Amino acid sequence: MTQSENSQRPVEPAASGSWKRFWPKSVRGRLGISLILFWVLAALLAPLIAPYPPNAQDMDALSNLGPSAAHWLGTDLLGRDILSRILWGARTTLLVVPIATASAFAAGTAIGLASGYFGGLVDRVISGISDIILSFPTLVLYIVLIASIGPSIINIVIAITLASAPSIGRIVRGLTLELRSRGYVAAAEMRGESVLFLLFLEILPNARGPLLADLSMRAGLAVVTVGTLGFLGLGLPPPDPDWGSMVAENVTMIPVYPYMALFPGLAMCSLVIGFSMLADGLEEE
Amino acid sequence: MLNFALRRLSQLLLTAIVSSFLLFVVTEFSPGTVSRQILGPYALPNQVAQLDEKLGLSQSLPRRYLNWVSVLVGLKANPLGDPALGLDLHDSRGERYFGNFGYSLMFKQPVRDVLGEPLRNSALLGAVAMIFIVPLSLLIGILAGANAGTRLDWSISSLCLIITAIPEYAAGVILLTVFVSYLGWLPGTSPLLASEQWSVASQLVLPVTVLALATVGYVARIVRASMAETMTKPFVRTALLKGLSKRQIVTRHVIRNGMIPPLTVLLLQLNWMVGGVVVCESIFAYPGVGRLLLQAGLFGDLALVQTITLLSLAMAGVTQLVADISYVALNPRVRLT
Repeated sequence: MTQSENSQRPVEPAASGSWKRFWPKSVRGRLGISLILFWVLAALLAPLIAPYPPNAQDMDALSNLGPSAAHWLGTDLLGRDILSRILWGARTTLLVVPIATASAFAAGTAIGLASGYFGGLVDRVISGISDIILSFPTLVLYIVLIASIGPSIINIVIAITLASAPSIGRIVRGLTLELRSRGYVAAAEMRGESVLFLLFLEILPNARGPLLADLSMRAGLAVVTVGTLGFLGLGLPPPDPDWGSMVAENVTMIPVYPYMALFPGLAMCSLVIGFSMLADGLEEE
Repeated sequence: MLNFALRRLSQLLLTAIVSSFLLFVVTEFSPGTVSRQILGPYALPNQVAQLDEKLGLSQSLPRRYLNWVSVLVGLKANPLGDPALGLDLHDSRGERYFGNFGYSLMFKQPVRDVLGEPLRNSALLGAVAMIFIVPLSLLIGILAGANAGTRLDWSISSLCLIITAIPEYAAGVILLTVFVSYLGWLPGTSPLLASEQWSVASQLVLPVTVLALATVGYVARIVRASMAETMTKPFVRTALLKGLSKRQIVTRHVIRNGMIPPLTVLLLQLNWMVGGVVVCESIFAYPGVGRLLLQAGLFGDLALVQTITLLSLAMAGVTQLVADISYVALNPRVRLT
């Protein structure tokens, strides 16, 4: 249905150089990107806007842990300001997530392009290995990997790359299979362009639509993964805040002080929801 | 059909072998080796090497994998059970039997004895969750899909999108805050022991809700997409033109045709639930396999981690097989190649 509407609309030239080109057109997409931008700003400005250093303990607050004028979201059991820790925690999440997503996408795109374009034995080997990795339940794979190689930013990135590259590869492979039979690819082949030129300058740019939506969804999943690993005690070592471990530290206190775990949990939710809404909006376009 | 099933079965076997080897390699690479764990941090390197020798851990990787598999299928006795080592590990089932997963060093017991109870508990959690997930997600998805494009559809889809996006542990925290901290209606932990205040059933409510929330949102979205697509098929127009009401069209024609993809997705969802189960069980201190896996991973209990992962792999393989076969069986248009 949307197809026919599009074809009847006059084609407007893309306003190149204008940032509006990148602004999502659907309501959900716009809501999503606003949430993401909010957290990006919060992470960037954390040293300026956070009322306290993330690990500073306020001994006066220990008698009244709840939200107050001095601590808007209250403090945790050690008297550390929760608002400041959430803002600083955004930095951890928004540092690991883009690196992990980019690395997973680089690996997934490479194997997807290779198996889709070359086919045959290359395809069978890559698909076989991907199927095996995909047969592990994701979280079990993370636990096995992180428990074996130890928790650190690099290892979390490696684990996320290993676990999500195969499914990204599958999508890229499907798109490549479809695009490689197009005329412009044949034309470039005829001109004698190199294989790398074909893959990265002819096929990949034309597959960007579905890939961008997937990228946003993967970033959301990476946020969940980083948070879940932190929650399970497989994330980054304390005391520096990350949302998952903040929830884990305070989850047993919920019957008495629910806000300690609730606020970091809500922060995590809003960022993930932002990414999925953006993905949904991009898919519709 | 039989041919297809057999070929998929052999594929499954191959995947089982390769993935178990991969699992073995990854876990064996972990820094704390079995000997180091038994002897403690103050053991001298030559003592560790000696025990490695006795347990056959100094052999090459493929050899060790073969040893592990032969213990598993009951061809060899587990070297850890040797009374000469003085580890005080015994197995009431004997030295050699099929399905010998070795000894859990964390519990100083055979893995099979450790696993029995948690496995039953997790199966209970998963089964109860599925009882709610299947009808709920079908109902919501059909409602949204049959009214595709309307405001009702938009609200349901947005809600599902948000619910799916919420990580399990965050959902757990929100529910705990509302139902335990503020309302006091439900218990905050689920040890599955009936206490004076809370029955076992009331302890299941929150874990099941957390597990169901994420899955319902996701499956409902898939049901909706499939239903919405089926609604645009020519036979729906024909039914409309011959004078059937919308309710009749949806219940008689669209549901039957639109349910094939979601059914396989529901089966595969069992795998996704394994991850949810781990998180869910750690939030609510639920005595199941997921929490056990996490404990074992943090402790470095290789045998236990390997066994639980193998079990989840086996479940993944079998559900995949059943999903593939049922897809073909349900949809006569799929050609087998």
